[in-house]
Amino acid sequence: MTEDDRIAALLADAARETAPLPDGLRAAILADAAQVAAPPPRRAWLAGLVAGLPAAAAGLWLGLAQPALVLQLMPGLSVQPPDDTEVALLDDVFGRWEDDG
Amino acid sequence: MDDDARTLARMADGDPTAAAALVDRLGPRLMAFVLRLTGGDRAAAEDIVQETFLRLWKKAGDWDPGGAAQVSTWLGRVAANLAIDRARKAGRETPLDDAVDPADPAPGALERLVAGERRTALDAALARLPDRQRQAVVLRHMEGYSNPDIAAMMGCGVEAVESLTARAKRALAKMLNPEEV
Repeated sequence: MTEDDRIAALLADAARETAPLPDGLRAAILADAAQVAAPPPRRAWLAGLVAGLPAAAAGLWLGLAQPALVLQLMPGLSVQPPDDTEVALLDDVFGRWEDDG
Repeated sequence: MDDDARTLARMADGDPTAAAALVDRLGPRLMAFVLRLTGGDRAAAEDIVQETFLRLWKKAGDWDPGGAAQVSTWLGRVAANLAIDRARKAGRETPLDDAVDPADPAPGALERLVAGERRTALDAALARLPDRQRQAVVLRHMEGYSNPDIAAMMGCGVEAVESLTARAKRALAKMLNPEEV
Protein backbone atom coordinates (compact mmCIF):
# COMPACT_ATOMS: atom_id res chain seq x y z
CA MET A 1 0.00 0.00 0.00
CA THR A 2 1.44 3.36 -1.02
CA GLU A 3 1.56 6.30 1.32
CA ASP A 4 -1.18 7.93 -0.74
CA ASP A 5 -3.43 4.87 -0.37
CA ARG A 6 -2.67 4.66 3.34
CA ILE A 7 -3.78 8.26 3.90
CA ALA A 8 -6.91 7.70 1.80
CA ALA A 9 -7.76 4.61 3.85
CA LEU A 10 -7.13 6.48 7.08
CA LEU A 11 -9.51 9.25 5.97
CA ALA A 12 -12.18 6.78 4.84
CA ASP A 13 -11.94 4.95 8.15
CA ALA A 14 -12.30 8.18 10.13
CA ALA A 15 -15.35 9.15 8.09
CA ARG A 16 -17.45 6.66 10.04
CA GLU A 17 -16.82 8.43 13.32
CA THR A 18 -19.40 10.64 14.96
CA ALA A 19 -19.41 13.60 17.34
CA PRO A 20 -22.28 13.95 19.81
CA LEU A 21 -24.30 17.14 19.60
CA PRO A 22 -23.99 19.35 22.68
CA ASP A 23 -27.25 19.52 24.63
CA GLY A 24 -27.66 23.24 23.94
CA LEU A 25 -27.24 22.76 20.21
CA ARG A 26 -29.68 19.85 20.16
CA ALA A 27 -32.24 21.93 22.05
CA ALA A 28 -31.77 24.88 19.68
CA ILE A 29 -32.25 22.66 16.63
CA LEU A 30 -35.43 21.17 18.07
CA ALA A 31 -36.70 24.65 18.99
CA ASP A 32 -36.18 25.65 15.36
CA ALA A 33 -38.16 22.59 14.28
CA ALA A 34 -41.04 23.43 16.62
CA GLN A 35 -41.10 27.01 15.37
CA VAL A 36 -41.13 25.99 11.73
CA ALA A 37 -43.77 23.30 12.29
CA ALA A 38 -46.14 25.56 14.27
CA PRO A 39 -48.79 27.39 12.20
CA PRO A 40 -48.09 31.11 11.96
CA PRO A 41 -50.06 33.21 14.47
CA ARG A 42 -53.24 34.63 12.91
CA ARG A 43 -53.25 38.37 12.92
CA ALA A 44 -55.92 40.02 15.07
CA TRP A 45 -57.12 42.30 12.30
CA LEU A 46 -57.48 39.35 9.99
CA ALA A 47 -59.64 37.52 12.54
CA GLY A 48 -61.78 40.66 12.94
CA LEU A 49 -62.14 40.97 9.21
CA VAL A 50 -63.13 37.34 8.81
CA ALA A 51 -65.76 37.57 11.57
CA GLY A 52 -66.97 41.08 10.82
CA LEU A 53 -67.49 41.02 7.07
CA PRO A 54 -70.23 38.36 7.00
CA ALA A 55 -72.02 40.03 9.93
CA ALA A 56 -71.94 43.40 8.19
CA ALA A 57 -73.18 41.90 4.94
CA ALA A 58 -76.04 40.14 6.72
CA GLY A 59 -77.02 43.36 8.50
CA LEU A 60 -77.01 45.33 5.25
CA TRP A 61 -79.11 42.71 3.48
CA LEU A 62 -81.60 42.64 6.35
CA GLY A 63 -81.93 46.43 6.38
CA LEU A 64 -82.54 46.64 2.66
CA ALA A 65 -84.65 43.56 2.07
CA GLN A 66 -86.63 43.42 5.30
CA PRO A 67 -87.15 47.02 6.52
CA ALA A 68 -90.42 46.21 8.30
CA LEU A 69 -88.68 43.58 10.36
CA VAL A 70 -85.92 46.01 11.30
CA LEU A 71 -88.40 48.74 12.27
CA GLN A 72 -90.43 46.28 14.27
CA LEU A 73 -87.35 45.42 16.27
CA MET A 74 -86.37 49.12 16.69
CA PRO A 75 -89.34 50.85 18.46
CA GLY A 76 -87.80 54.34 18.29
CA LEU A 77 -88.14 54.38 14.55
CA SER A 78 -91.40 54.77 12.58
CA VAL A 79 -92.52 54.99 8.98
CA GLN A 80 -96.02 56.27 9.87
CA PRO A 81 -96.86 59.60 8.13
CA PRO A 82 -96.90 62.62 10.53
CA ASP A 83 -100.27 63.77 11.85
CA ASP A 84 -101.61 67.35 11.37
CA THR A 85 -99.99 68.70 14.52
CA GLU A 86 -96.60 67.41 13.50
CA VAL A 87 -97.04 68.86 10.00
CA ALA A 88 -97.93 72.28 11.46
CA LEU A 89 -94.91 72.21 13.73
CA LEU A 90 -92.60 71.24 10.90
CA ASP A 91 -94.10 74.00 8.70
CA ASP A 92 -93.37 76.57 11.43
CA VAL A 93 -89.78 75.48 11.68
CA PHE A 94 -88.89 74.89 8.03
CA GLY A 95 -91.59 76.84 6.19
CA ARG A 96 -93.95 75.39 3.61
CA TRP A 97 -93.36 74.81 -0.03
CA GLU A 98 -96.23 76.37 -2.01
CA ASP A 99 -96.94 74.69 -5.26
CA ASP A 100 -97.75 77.35 -7.86
CA GLY A 101 -99.60 74.82 -9.94
CA MET B 1 -38.96 6.02 0.73
CA ASP B 2 -36.15 5.52 3.27
CA ASP B 3 -36.54 5.77 7.03
CA ASP B 4 -35.22 9.31 7.19
CA ALA B 5 -37.62 10.50 4.50
CA ARG B 6 -40.51 8.85 6.36
CA THR B 7 -39.46 10.52 9.58
CA LEU B 8 -39.19 13.85 7.81
CA ALA B 9 -42.71 13.40 6.43
CA ARG B 10 -43.94 12.75 9.97
CA MET B 11 -42.22 15.93 11.10
CA ALA B 12 -43.97 17.88 8.33
CA ASP B 13 -47.28 16.39 9.50
CA GLY B 14 -46.70 17.82 12.97
CA ASP B 15 -45.29 14.81 14.84
CA PRO B 16 -43.21 16.46 17.59
CA THR B 17 -41.03 13.37 18.09
CA ALA B 18 -39.95 13.11 14.47
CA ALA B 19 -37.53 16.05 14.55
CA ALA B 20 -35.79 14.66 17.63
CA ALA B 21 -35.48 11.26 15.97
CA LEU B 22 -33.85 12.79 12.91
CA VAL B 23 -31.49 14.95 14.95
CA ASP B 24 -30.41 12.00 17.09
CA ARG B 25 -29.89 9.74 14.10
CA LEU B 26 -28.19 12.15 11.69
CA GLY B 27 -26.80 14.89 13.92
CA PRO B 28 -23.69 13.20 15.35
CA ARG B 29 -22.46 12.10 11.93
CA LEU B 30 -23.11 15.56 10.51
CA MET B 31 -21.37 17.22 13.44
CA ALA B 32 -18.22 15.12 12.96
CA PHE B 33 -18.19 15.92 9.25
CA VAL B 34 -18.60 19.65 9.79
CA LEU B 35 -16.00 19.71 12.55
CA ARG B 36 -13.49 18.29 10.09
CA LEU B 37 -14.49 20.73 7.39
CA THR B 38 -14.01 23.67 9.75
CA GLY B 39 -10.70 22.35 11.06
CA GLY B 40 -12.09 21.77 14.54
CA ASP B 41 -13.75 25.18 14.92
CA ARG B 42 -16.53 24.03 17.24
CA ALA B 43 -18.47 27.32 17.32
CA ALA B 44 -18.53 27.51 13.53
CA ALA B 45 -19.45 23.84 13.28
CA GLU B 46 -22.38 24.26 15.66
CA ASP B 47 -23.68 27.27 13.72
CA ILE B 48 -23.46 25.33 10.47
CA VAL B 49 -25.16 22.23 11.87
CA GLN B 50 -28.00 24.32 13.29
CA GLU B 51 -28.47 26.22 10.04
CA THR B 52 -28.37 22.97 8.06
CA PHE B 53 -31.13 21.41 10.12
CA LEU B 54 -33.15 24.65 9.97
CA ARG B 55 -33.05 24.45 6.17
CA LEU B 56 -34.17 20.82 6.38
CA TRP B 57 -37.14 21.75 8.59
CA LYS B 58 -38.17 24.45 6.13
CA LYS B 59 -37.95 21.96 3.28
CA ALA B 60 -39.77 19.16 5.12
CA GLY B 61 -43.19 19.96 3.64
CA ASP B 62 -41.82 20.02 0.10
CA TRP B 63 -39.52 17.01 0.39
CA ASP B 64 -39.92 14.63 -2.52
CA PRO B 65 -40.06 11.17 -0.94
CA GLY B 66 -39.60 9.53 -4.31
CA GLY B 67 -36.66 11.71 -5.25
CA ALA B 68 -33.14 10.50 -5.61
CA ALA B 69 -31.73 12.54 -2.74
CA GLN B 70 -31.43 10.92 0.66
CA VAL B 71 -31.91 13.14 3.70
CA SER B 72 -28.41 12.39 4.99
CA THR B 73 -26.84 13.18 1.63
CA TRP B 74 -28.83 16.39 1.37
CA LEU B 75 -27.72 17.45 4.84
CA GLY B 76 -24.08 16.77 4.02
CA ARG B 77 -24.19 18.79 0.85
CA VAL B 78 -25.91 21.76 2.47
CA ALA B 79 -23.47 21.67 5.38
CA ALA B 80 -20.50 21.49 3.02
CA ASN B 81 -21.76 24.48 1.06
CA LEU B 82 -22.34 26.45 4.26
CA ALA B 83 -18.86 25.61 5.55
CA ILE B 84 -17.21 26.57 2.28
CA ASP B 85 -19.18 29.83 2.10
CA ARG B 86 -18.37 30.64 5.69
CA ALA B 87 -14.65 30.11 5.18
CA ARG B 88 -14.76 32.18 2.01
CA LYS B 89 -16.57 35.06 3.70
CA ALA B 90 -14.24 34.93 6.65
CA GLY B 91 -11.39 35.52 4.24
CA ARG B 92 -9.37 32.81 5.81
CA GLU B 93 -8.78 31.00 2.58
CA THR B 94 -5.43 31.06 0.90
CA PRO B 95 -5.58 31.27 -2.88
CA LEU B 96 -4.55 28.06 -4.54
CA ASP B 97 -1.39 29.47 -6.05
CA ASP B 98 -0.29 30.90 -2.72
CA ALA B 99 -1.20 27.91 -0.63
CA VAL B 100 1.76 26.67 1.28
CA ASP B 101 2.20 23.29 2.82
CA PRO B 102 1.96 23.47 6.57
CA ALA B 103 5.04 23.32 8.68
CA ASP B 104 6.28 20.07 10.09
CA PRO B 105 4.19 18.85 12.99
CA ALA B 106 5.27 18.95 16.54
CA PRO B 107 7.26 15.88 17.58
CA GLY B 108 5.12 13.02 18.76
CA ALA B 109 2.41 13.00 16.13
CA LEU B 110 3.38 9.52 14.99
CA GLU B 111 3.59 8.25 18.54
CA ARG B 112 0.09 9.49 19.28
CA LEU B 113 -1.12 7.83 16.13
CA VAL B 114 0.45 4.52 17.03
CA ALA B 115 -0.80 4.74 20.59
CA GLY B 116 -4.37 4.69 19.44
CA GLU B 117 -4.97 8.40 19.24
CA ARG B 118 -5.31 8.20 15.53
CA ARG B 119 -8.43 10.27 15.47
CA THR B 120 -6.85 13.06 17.47
CA ALA B 121 -3.75 13.03 15.33
CA LEU B 122 -5.72 13.00 12.09
CA ASP B 123 -8.04 15.77 13.25
CA ALA B 124 -5.08 17.84 14.37
CA ALA B 125 -3.39 17.32 11.02
CA LEU B 126 -6.56 18.20 9.12
CA ALA B 127 -6.93 21.36 11.16
CA ARG B 128 -3.45 22.41 10.13
CA LEU B 129 -4.21 22.20 6.43
CA PRO B 130 -5.11 25.32 4.45
CA ASP B 131 -8.90 25.61 4.28
CA ARG B 132 -9.30 24.66 0.64
CA GLN B 133 -7.01 21.65 0.89
CA ARG B 134 -8.90 20.46 3.94
CA GLN B 135 -12.29 20.97 2.27
CA ALA B 136 -11.20 19.12 -0.86
CA VAL B 137 -9.70 16.13 0.92
CA VAL B 138 -12.58 15.77 3.40
CA LEU B 139 -15.20 15.95 0.67
CA ARG B 140 -13.30 13.54 -1.59
CA HIS B 141 -11.91 10.94 0.75
CA MET B 142 -14.24 11.12 3.75
CA GLU B 143 -17.56 11.90 2.10
CA GLY B 144 -16.96 10.30 -1.27
CA TYR B 145 -18.05 13.21 -3.45
CA SER B 146 -16.83 13.17 -7.03
CA ASN B 147 -14.29 15.72 -8.16
CA PRO B 148 -16.83 17.51 -10.40
CA ASP B 149 -19.24 17.76 -7.45
CA ILE B 150 -16.50 19.17 -5.24
CA ALA B 151 -15.48 21.60 -7.97
CA ALA B 152 -19.07 22.86 -8.16
CA MET B 153 -19.30 23.27 -4.39
CA MET B 154 -15.96 25.01 -4.11
CA GLY B 155 -16.38 27.16 -7.19
CA CYS B 156 -13.25 25.97 -8.96
CA GLY B 157 -12.20 23.58 -11.70
CA VAL B 158 -11.79 19.84 -11.49
CA GLU B 159 -8.02 20.14 -11.98
CA ALA B 160 -7.86 22.49 -9.02
CA VAL B 161 -9.71 19.94 -6.89
CA GLU B 162 -7.31 17.20 -7.94
CA SER B 163 -4.36 19.42 -7.11
CA LEU B 164 -5.81 20.44 -3.74
CA THR B 165 -6.55 16.84 -2.83
CA ALA B 166 -3.10 15.59 -3.81
CA ARG B 167 -1.37 18.35 -1.90
CA ALA B 168 -3.56 17.75 1.12
CA LYS B 169 -2.71 14.06 1.19
CA ARG B 170 0.99 14.78 0.85
CA ALA B 171 0.76 17.27 3.70
CA LEU B 172 -1.20 14.83 5.87
CA ALA B 173 1.33 12.07 5.22
CA LYS B 174 4.10 14.45 6.16
CA MET B 175 2.38 15.47 9.38
CA LEU B 176 1.29 12.01 10.43
CA ASN B 177 4.44 10.19 9.50
CA PRO B 178 7.27 12.70 9.20
CA GLU B 179 10.10 10.18 9.41
CA GLU B 180 9.00 8.23 6.35
CA VAL B 181 8.17 11.13 4.03
